[in-house]
Amino acid sequence: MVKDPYIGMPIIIGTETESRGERSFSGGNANSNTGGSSIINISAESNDGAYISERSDISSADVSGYPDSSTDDPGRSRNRTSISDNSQGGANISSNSRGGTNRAENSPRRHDGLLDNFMAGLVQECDESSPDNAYLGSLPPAMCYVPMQRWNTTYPLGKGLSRGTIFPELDLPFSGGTER
Amino acid sequence: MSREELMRHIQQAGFALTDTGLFLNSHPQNQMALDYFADVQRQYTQLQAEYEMMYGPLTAFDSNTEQGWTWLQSPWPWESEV
Repeated sequence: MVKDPYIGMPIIIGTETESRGERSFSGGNANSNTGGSSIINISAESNDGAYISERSDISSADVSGYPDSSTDDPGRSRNRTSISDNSQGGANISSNSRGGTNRAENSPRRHDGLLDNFMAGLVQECDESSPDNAYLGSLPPAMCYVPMQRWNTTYPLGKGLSRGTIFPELDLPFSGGTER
Repeated sequence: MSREELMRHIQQAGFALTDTGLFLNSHPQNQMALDYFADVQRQYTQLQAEYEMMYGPLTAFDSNTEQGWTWLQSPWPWESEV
């Protein structure tokens, strides 16, 4: 059981939203590689500043693609980035579409340097004593853990419709990713 | 309450029912949510009955065939007032 730093309660839901196609992680082996390891921290920050991260040790990274938002078919737009750890100790980061087609494998954009910058941002020093690693270090990467919503107060009916939710804690308008 | 105000209240209650239903899909045992849903459901039913009594059926499913096909008597979306 893992404590959630956001609400201080055990996380009871761990959801992998898509598991079809290439996938190789199983729980508990994320730190099993030896020698020449790099540390990848995948992190996110919740709206109140609580910090959540996951960690994986991999000995080498072969980047074969990344999510491509330019798909024409809505049914294929749910790309997932998965990190797969093969038996040789290497690791792939690949983009899998819903139908299992790895279109990014032949993408000309794989060499444009954008992904290199992305990977460089992920590689960080490992700090075993940090709360993030203590809480989440044993969990497999590339999986999403979301605290269960609780019933609290609700907006009045009129405000709920105008805000698009009756739950004040979910009233989180997206500002477009940039400050305006 | 004007027709527009009544319709707006129906839409507000309907949205609250939808949102609460989504919460209940993952929390089916939550009694507070169930109570809230039942309360808003009563309001919705009451508002719907009031509207239909005064202005006709909200959907074709609610048509009262004893008075003919009343669905055609209410304005179509493109005929509504601005």
